Amino acid sequence: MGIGIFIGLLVFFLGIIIGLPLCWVFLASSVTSLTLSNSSLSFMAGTYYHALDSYILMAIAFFILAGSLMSSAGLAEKLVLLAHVIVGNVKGGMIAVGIVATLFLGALTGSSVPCISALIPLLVGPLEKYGYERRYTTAVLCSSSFLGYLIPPSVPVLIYCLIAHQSVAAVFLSTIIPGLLLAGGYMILNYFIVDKYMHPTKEKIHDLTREEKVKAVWGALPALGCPVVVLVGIYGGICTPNEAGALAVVYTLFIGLWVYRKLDRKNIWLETRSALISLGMVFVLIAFGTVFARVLTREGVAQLMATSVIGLFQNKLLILLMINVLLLVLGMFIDGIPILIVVVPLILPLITDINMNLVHLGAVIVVNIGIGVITPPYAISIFVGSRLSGVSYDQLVKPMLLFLFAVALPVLFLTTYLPALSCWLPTLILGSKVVGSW
Amino acid sequence: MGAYNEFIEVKKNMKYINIFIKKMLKIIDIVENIICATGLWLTSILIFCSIINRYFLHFPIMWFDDLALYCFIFFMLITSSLTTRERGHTSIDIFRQKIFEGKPRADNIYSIFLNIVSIVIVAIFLPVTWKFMLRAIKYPEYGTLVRWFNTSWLMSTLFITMILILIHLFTLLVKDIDKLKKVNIKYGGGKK
Repeated sequence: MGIGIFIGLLVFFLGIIIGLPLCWVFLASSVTSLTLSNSSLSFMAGTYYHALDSYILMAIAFFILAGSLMSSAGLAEKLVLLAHVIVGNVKGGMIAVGIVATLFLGALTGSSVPCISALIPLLVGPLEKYGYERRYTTAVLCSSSFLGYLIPPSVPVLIYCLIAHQSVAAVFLSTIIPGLLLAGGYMILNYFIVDKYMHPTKEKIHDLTREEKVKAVWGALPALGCPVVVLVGIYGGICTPNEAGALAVVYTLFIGLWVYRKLDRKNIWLETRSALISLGMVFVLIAFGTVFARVLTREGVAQLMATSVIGLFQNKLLILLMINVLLLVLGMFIDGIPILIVVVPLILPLITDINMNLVHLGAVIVVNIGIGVITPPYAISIFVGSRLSGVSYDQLVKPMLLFLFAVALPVLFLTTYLPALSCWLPTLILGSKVVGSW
Repeated sequence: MGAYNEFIEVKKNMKYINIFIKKMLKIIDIVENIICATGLWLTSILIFCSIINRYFLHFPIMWFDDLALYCFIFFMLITSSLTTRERGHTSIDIFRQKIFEGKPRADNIYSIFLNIVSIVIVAIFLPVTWKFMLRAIKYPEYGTLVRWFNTSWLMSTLFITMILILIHLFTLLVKDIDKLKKVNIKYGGGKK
């Protein structure tokens, strides 16, 4: 490793610490490394441009737009009612309703922030009247907010596939079982601890009548049609992931305009604008991140890391543990997408050397990235949850840590050390030729 | 008296220049919004039409997907400047929040510093994109990755995008300086 790349990495960490936008951090580090190692900068523009020349990026754009439209289409209320029908009757059922609603809404929006932004105003206040502590409801919703990353379609999965050149259909399927395990684990834990956070009140939740249940299911069907269209499209071999994304956009627009009638011209513009801002952020990060990753690869940093880690640990289990610790620590300070862009190209040679399946790696990384959303100090879910519910950051962290240590980390552990958990479903549906050996 | 008149004239001209710059910036904002929103929706519709053509009309049009990709890359390049304008680029500001909590003036000065650093970084990258654009114009056959269309125009757009990003970064810098002046007035010359 030359002095150029060493100083480039120093610039990278310094840029992150001083709070410079990450895209400029990538650019500054690449320029520094190349200039100091007397290399030409000319390949940077070409790499930036070609990083954007991709059909998978189109899928990311469509799913982000569909997710934005979904959040304005008034689906949250319908999905909460549907979740009430499914799990409303068990002990602590209304909190379980929140978890199931997060699962549904997360699958539709593919992101954590729109999910809790829609559910916290809808559930936290009303549930307080029935005796559920405000901080507990918020903590559960924030903890389960990243389920959207695991239930397809998911934006981090698409970015992983773009970087690691993996089948989108396979990695989409690989995160479903860990996602369901997380949701199940949260509900079980909630069942045992909910009493501690409940106070008896006069108000009682009324059981839904049969008519209300039918109405709730009927009302949620059009919304649930969106993931069905996407998944049937992709796994039925009808369309590619980016075409499925376009279908999702048109479908969401249709139900928002003519079924739920919540979308109007103003809403559409606001959501398009919000999607564009997110897209600009993601694409510039991907483009400059690719430039930076190329510089690191050219300078042999990825290979150096692979050989030194293998030399240090010489054991696949320990290497996997180390990758998890690295991703968790990074997740405590950095957003998921930059982690994907920087870490995946760096660890790919290492993963190839230890013969790990790349679909399995995708599941491990996406679960890690998801957990990063809820691990303090930098946890976007806690920031948003705290602002929306009026519960302080400190009050939220304690119950959230319980869910993190009792459910999220064990599921991550299982996903890492039981490849079947992530590879069985894709192999069953797509065959071992697509997924490879695990 | 003559000097005074000259001063008034210069001040008047400055006012006109200021109004002109503001109008130009507004036009840039509107054009960016239109290009990006139209591009995103057009791409979605083109891909949707491609599916309809294939399955319902049984008449797949080969260049539809390529046209969609062409529009997509074009609007995506412009979107990066829109995101800069809206301060939408992600950064790790946890340390900044801790250090400057409750110190609006210091935070503002720091924001100006970050803007200047960003401008310097983008300015360094600008000549690289300029050369890339010149090469794309000189050898249009180089830009044939999207088969049906000449992508050398898209490569030129990269340079234009960087110019737009620089313009937005300068505008943000001026806004931050303005904000600093207001904070100074509020706290009496910067003293709390």
